[in-house]
Amino acid sequence: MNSKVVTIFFIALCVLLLLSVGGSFWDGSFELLLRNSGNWKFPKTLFIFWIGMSQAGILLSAFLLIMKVKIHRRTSLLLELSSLCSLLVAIVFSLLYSNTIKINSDVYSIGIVGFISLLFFVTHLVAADSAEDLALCKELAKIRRPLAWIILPTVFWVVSSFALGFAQFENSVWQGSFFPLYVVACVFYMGLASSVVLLSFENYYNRMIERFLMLCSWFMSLLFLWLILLKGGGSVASFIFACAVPQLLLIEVVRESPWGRMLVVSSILFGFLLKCDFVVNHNDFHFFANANFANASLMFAGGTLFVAIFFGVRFWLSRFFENDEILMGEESDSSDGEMPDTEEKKYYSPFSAPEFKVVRLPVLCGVLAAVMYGYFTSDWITLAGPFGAYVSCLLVCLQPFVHIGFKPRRRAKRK
Amino acid sequence: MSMFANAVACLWCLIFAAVLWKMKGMLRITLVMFLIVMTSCLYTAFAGNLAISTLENYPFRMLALTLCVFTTGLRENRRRFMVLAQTFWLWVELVGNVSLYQTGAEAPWIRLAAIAEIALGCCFMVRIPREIEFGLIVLWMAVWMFF
Repeated sequence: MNSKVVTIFFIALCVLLLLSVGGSFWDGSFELLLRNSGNWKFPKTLFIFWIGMSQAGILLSAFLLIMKVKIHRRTSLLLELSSLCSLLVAIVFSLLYSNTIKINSDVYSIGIVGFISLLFFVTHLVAADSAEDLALCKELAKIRRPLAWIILPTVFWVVSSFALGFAQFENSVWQGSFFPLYVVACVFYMGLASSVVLLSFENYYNRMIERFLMLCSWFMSLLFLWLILLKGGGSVASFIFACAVPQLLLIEVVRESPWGRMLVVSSILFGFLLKCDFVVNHNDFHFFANANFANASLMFAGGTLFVAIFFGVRFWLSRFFENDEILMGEESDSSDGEMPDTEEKKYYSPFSAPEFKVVRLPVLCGVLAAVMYGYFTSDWITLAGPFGAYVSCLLVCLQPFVHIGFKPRRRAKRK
Repeated sequence: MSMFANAVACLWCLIFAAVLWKMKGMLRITLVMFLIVMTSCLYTAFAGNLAISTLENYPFRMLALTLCVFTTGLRENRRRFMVLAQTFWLWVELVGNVSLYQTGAEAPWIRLAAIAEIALGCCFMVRIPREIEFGLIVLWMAVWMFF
């Protein structure tokens, strides 16, 4: 990892934060930062943005694993870690501005996804640490894809229910059959964009992800235009930043330059920040019309906090495992920790694939738990699914330890 | 949307699937899918009244049906992708209808149940023969047209 660039970036963010806080004294918006009155809507915009980011990384990582797309392990690790750090930033915002950001059951379901993401990430880390315990690593590697099979629908469920809840309770303009679908597509696109940024800090460049980003930008352009057609208006500024600017990737000079890629990806993320602002305020130019130094301070505070947590954990994990080149960050192909798919072309009859054998009992227990939860609380939409997924993931993660615990006994019996 | 417009949309989906069958490589398939979504959006905008909120996700339902038909032509992991495509269709329908249900609209529960049952049925299929594939396409078309 390029620690010099990270340090410079972090210092630049800190300076910008200090300047914007200083500026907030100058334009008189400093009180907004201190007072938790509930009238200032920008914290909600940022909260939605970071919640989106918290789902983006894990969604993309699980999706790529399920689709058996060959990516370097560092990419998925970075995505999973970024998800967890984004969730922490969102939690900090919700705690600081509790009057603006109302906590309801949707947020609890996002917390459950956060916990599942943590399990997924830890499983990945331990499975990668092959120097420690080979048997445990092999067992944990076996449960990675089954976990992804549980996580992917859960993230879809949670993001959809979050969008449904927002449309129902916050802004009825968004009620319709398209909005949840649109939100999930945005989250996926954000995941691709953030992966390009995070890989750039690792001095690494994934051409496949960049191509997918390009293709997704076309899909997103369509969805933006479709939304404008349906609702009679949409965030044009957001469309320009998130969909039009990425077309610069068609130019080779921009595509091949790390600064060009960073510019494009920053534009995408800023475009989504504008989109979040539009979704909250339903005004195309609200962000620019109400721009003040307090907004900028909060924006940079979120960014600085994310960078501090993300790279702090990244450095801490490198030291902890003492094999940085295996964990993440190095460019050698031999450091790729993905398990080779030797059984890929083998035919499995229904319900007999190894992955299914791992998940069948946990998922059954999870479904039963979800049904019981739904029956006793009458909450079938928001929390029943995530609760079932939580139970399933816990049981899947226990399996390797059970297998390892029983193996010595079996061997002893055979002797 | 009228029955005739629905039937034409279904025909479009079959044409899209036929085009997708001829494509090779994930990137080319994604590019064609982009063209499919664009055509579906244009078709929905011209053939239907966009003020009706049930048509908001119509292009994506068309995409889902196209993917379902497309998966019958896959050589590897056919059952897996078939179930995934139907789950995508079910998700588009379910989420859209739950959203409309919250506004007081009636949800087409039979359609949802039919898609879920076909997806569940596909999970049990062993080495899906050509006749069953044809039967599945007919079933999906029936769900699309009549429910």
